[in-house]
Amino acid sequence: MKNLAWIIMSLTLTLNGAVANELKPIEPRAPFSSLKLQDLNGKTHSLADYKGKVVLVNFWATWCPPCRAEMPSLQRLKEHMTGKPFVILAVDMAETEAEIRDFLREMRASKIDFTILMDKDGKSIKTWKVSVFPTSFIIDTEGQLRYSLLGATEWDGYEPVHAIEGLLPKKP
Amino acid sequence: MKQISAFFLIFLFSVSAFAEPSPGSVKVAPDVEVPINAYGTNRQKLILWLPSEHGIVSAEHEIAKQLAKHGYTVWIADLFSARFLPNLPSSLNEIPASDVAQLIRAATQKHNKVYLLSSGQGASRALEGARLWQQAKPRRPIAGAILLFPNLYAASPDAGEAPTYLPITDQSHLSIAILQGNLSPWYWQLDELKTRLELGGSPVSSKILTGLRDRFYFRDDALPREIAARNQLAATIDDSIRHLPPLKSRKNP
Repeated sequence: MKNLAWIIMSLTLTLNGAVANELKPIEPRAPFSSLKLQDLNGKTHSLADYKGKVVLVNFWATWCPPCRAEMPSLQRLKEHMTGKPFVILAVDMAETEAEIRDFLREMRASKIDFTILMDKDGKSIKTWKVSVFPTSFIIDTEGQLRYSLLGATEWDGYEPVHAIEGLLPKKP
Repeated sequence: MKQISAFFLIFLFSVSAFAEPSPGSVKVAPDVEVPINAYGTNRQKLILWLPSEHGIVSAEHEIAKQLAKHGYTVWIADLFSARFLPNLPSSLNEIPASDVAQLIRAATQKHNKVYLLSSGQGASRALEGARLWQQAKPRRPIAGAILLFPNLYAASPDAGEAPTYLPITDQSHLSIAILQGNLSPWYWQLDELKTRLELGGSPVSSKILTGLRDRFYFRDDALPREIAARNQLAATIDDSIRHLPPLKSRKNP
């Protein structure tokens, strides 16, 4: 009986672990809202400057467990896309630079080096109507919103990689 | 020996005369009795604690004991158990607002000031029960509602979409206090939520709980500052009750 309970529990945990949030296509395509924020080094990034690249905008916070959980996979995605016109802009929501740097120190094994932007007053949360953490958007090379995702996922999994690669310019 | 027995009987009588007896349960429908855990002996002020989508959690009993020390009677109403429902978010939908209204009726029969308290999605059932109770035009009104990190969304909005609120949000007519941690996506919706509640005629006060996440007082991964805040929550609730905004009268709630 104990063995049966253990098998059921293991199966349940396995199935739960296999459930991932899915990218949702945005139809009709829509232009992105403005986003102009500073990174941890004080450099200002404007989303408009990234036209010609596929951009993954990820809204996150260090206190949000699912956000933390997906960070290593975002880094792996970045590494998978090396050399391709793809960029990650991870917008931290209204935390201090010290809190973010503490988090990066905790995560040093994952060697996170994608761009982290600071939304100190939460303005972009309202502009982008973020009501779930994390929330992500994928923007194509023409500056059109193409996918959204509520909650966390394994970003280097087949589906996200396939979707992002599908937005990259085709080689002649 | 007779003198001792007489003294004992007098003692028992005096205790029962001054202590608010625990109701044990309240019948809310022909075959439905809601188990009540009661704390405190105040005959004037009662907090009716209603479950969230997580049901009643053990930390709430501890906070209720502390609230009793602040001078309240607290009834923790296990609406899930009453209908043999599991502690799942979907169970809230199985609880009719009339169950809450009946609890309010029982509470107001014995106490002058009844405050509703709930968290998360439980806020909607609290407000719906209150509205149903008000429609019966009772003599004794509800003194107010304390909503901890309330979730009054109709559903989780799609990414980039504005949230839609449950109809009860702008149909309520109650004095409301909201306690909201700032480490929450809902914190950024608080102004909009207050506006919606106020449009319906509910004056709203809010207190931002700095450095706290939603569910902070019963999270498995509670941070030290969240544990500290849990220990202070009864005092925070008491303070919110003391500063509930005045309710303007309305002809048709």
